[in-house]
Amino acid sequence: MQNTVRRYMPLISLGVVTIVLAVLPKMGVPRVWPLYLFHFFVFLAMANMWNLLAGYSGLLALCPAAFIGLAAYTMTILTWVDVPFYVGIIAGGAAAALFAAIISPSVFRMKGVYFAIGTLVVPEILRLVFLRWRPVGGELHGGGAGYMVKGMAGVTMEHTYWLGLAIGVASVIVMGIILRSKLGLGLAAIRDNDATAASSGIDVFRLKLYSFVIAAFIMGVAGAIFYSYQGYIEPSAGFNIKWLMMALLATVIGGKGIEGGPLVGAIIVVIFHFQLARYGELNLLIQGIVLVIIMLAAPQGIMGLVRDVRKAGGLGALLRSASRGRIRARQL
Amino acid sequence: MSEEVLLRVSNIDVFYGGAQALWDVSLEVRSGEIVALAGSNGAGKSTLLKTISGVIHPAKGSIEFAGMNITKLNAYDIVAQGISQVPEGRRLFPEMTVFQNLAIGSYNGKARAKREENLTRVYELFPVLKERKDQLAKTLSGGEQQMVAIGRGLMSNPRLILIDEMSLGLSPLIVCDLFRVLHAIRARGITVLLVEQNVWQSLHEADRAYIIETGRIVLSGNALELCEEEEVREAYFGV
Amino acid sequence: METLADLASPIAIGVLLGGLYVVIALGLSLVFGVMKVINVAHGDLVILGSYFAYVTSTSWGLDPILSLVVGIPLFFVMGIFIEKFLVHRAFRMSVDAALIIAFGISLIIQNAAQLVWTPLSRGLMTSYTLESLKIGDVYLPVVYLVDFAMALVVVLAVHQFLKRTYLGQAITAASQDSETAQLMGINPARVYQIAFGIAMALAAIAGVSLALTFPFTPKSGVPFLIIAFGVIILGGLGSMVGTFIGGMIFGLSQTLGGHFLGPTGQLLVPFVMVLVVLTIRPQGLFGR
Repeated sequence: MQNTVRRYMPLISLGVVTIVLAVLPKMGVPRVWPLYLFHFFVFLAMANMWNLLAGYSGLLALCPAAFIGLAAYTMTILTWVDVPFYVGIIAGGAAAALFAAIISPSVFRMKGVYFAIGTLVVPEILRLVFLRWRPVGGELHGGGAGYMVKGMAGVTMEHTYWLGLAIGVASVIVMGIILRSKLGLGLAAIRDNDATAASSGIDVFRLKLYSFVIAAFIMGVAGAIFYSYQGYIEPSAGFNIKWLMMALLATVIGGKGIEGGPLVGAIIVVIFHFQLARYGELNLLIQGIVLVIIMLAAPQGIMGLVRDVRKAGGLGALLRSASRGRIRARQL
Repeated sequence: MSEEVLLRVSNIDVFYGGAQALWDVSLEVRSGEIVALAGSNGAGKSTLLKTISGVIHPAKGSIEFAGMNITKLNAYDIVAQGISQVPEGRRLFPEMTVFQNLAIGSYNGKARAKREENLTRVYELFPVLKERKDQLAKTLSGGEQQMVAIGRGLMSNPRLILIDEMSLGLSPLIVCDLFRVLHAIRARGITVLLVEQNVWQSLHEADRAYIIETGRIVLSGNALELCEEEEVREAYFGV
Repeated sequence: METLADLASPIAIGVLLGGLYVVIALGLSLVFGVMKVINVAHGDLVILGSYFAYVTSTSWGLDPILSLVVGIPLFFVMGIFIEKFLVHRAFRMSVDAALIIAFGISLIIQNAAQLVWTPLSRGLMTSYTLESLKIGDVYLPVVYLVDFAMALVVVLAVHQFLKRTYLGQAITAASQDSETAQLMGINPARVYQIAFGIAMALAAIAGVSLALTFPFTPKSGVPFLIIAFGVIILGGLGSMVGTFIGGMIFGLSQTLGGHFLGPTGQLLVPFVMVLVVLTIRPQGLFGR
């Protein structure tokens, strides 16, 4: 009995937290709360999926902006042909997933850093395509001018808030399921050793493809939701490298390759985002400095540090063993 | 002259890749000797060479070279002290020419001044390298690559040269030639410490030998006398 | 009807522009070749070079090219410090860690530049900025010719340095096998610092070249970084000759793409080429 409770404890607490968050906008909280939380949900979904790619699948994919922009554009353009925006959001995710599946045979041929660089080029190409391409709206809209999202009359901040909550929670659940499934086991084997995993009968390509497509879908949905809130999309924003920065920052600060990492990281990034926003450039400057300091001081991220502290039995013990380790490392 | 101890390894313990690889190993090499370090695969021979050349450092014990304690020196500083290593598998720089591979051997300050002199000597020892000096290292045959590797080791103007698994993967004829070269090198006053899986051959070419098993020195002494030892004959020659 | 004469101008401009791209890509290629680190901050370092030239020419009245006499050593030393205190510590952990550090450096430089120089677009005006040289029917802007001349000098100098000096050979050796390089008496940590320093010096030169040719803002580093990636992917990561040819191909396909497809086709054509090359030959045209 107690074991069952413990086993389902995370699920129960996730349920409770979700319900509390869902009714929050109705509770008369300050108006900025839903706004903060909305950003947090979107960032969480992004970071969770980037963690799936970079932390668990060995795919240092630098192309989140491609999925975001593509899905947001799909959603927006569909609203121009009178498709409701919530259908467009799912269609956007599907478009991003399809795109991921289409480019995977070519990008997966590249290994390690080549993969990273190859994927970094992808959003830039899409940006250039969308600068040129005007699928709807004649010569006055599209291209560099971008598109308004249509059919948003009557859609309130509360609605988009709930959509954000849904994708944030979905990303947590998807991560949980993947890591406890055969896919997660296979990915763990790949992460330890690509070649060994392949020789022991694991279809490395297929597993990586699954996580690439899943991540593209969820990132796409999150991006489409974000732009339904923004109400406007243009190539330089949708395919901006800042989407990658955000996902990377949240994942690394929280702890790459740790399930709870992106959650902690996304909280911190949202706090940065709003608390430092009034300082303009200083905001991003500080984010950069924090990123560098974290990489140098605690490369495992905050959750990684917490894990190490727990394992060592207290911070003092960890520091002592770390200094011992350093001495030994120097001797070796 | 041959009485002076050039290299003295005293009671070293070495950890490599998280596990202990050497236990309380001691050995001496005197000036002008050819000393063989023989033993089966995985016995710790290469680890010992890497420890002497400073790629790894011992957890315990000390290494002295020409009266100087080099235990804690880095690999790149030890070269300048006069120890050069010819690594297992040659490890040439594949995209550099034969000449460039040799020249980079004389990177340390003392060797740079003697570069032309040493280069002439290397070409004397291995005339074929002079013919192939502008060829990329990766295009050479295995035997020629080993010649470049030894030549590169000599370019650093060493007093002691460590050679790891020189005969691995080479035809017996070429191996014979290479051993002849080792004697020529010794004749020029360079001491040789040789690591070989091929116990029989190394015992016949060396003055003295150490036999190492699972990280410990088990036998040592005059090489030819070791050949006659019952244990050695049983374990390595299958007699 | 297209004639060859119509194409003379885009071809000439493409080659000259390719020279600028080569200089921008060279530092990135060098650091990758030696350390296997993708320095995503390289574009921002180039822009930092542009601002350096901007400051020296506006406040001291120095010619931008002449300002490199100060700029090159300054950037070289800065590079050594950045490598020693930031990149190297991450590099010892993993290649990913170094990449993330580089992202952090990129954020810092971009936003510090916005604080100091505002987001406004800047450009360098010199006596030769608007001059053109007429050869046949083709007008060649003098700055493009200057870019190309600088590219030639830089590529030859780097090539000779790597081939003829002990330090250059040490960098080459360490990039092929850093453990064996140690057995030659080469200290890899020092080699990495020097390679990074040289990459920074190259960024200073590229920055001047860029500032002479295009207007720039603190955020201009990213598009040029991506172009530089395109160049070294075409040529093959870590190969000097490849980088040079990659730059030419990139410049040419850009101007020819613009000629046939209009202004927005300019960068699309080279990037699509990059993806095609990556798919067919992931190691680049001249990679090993």
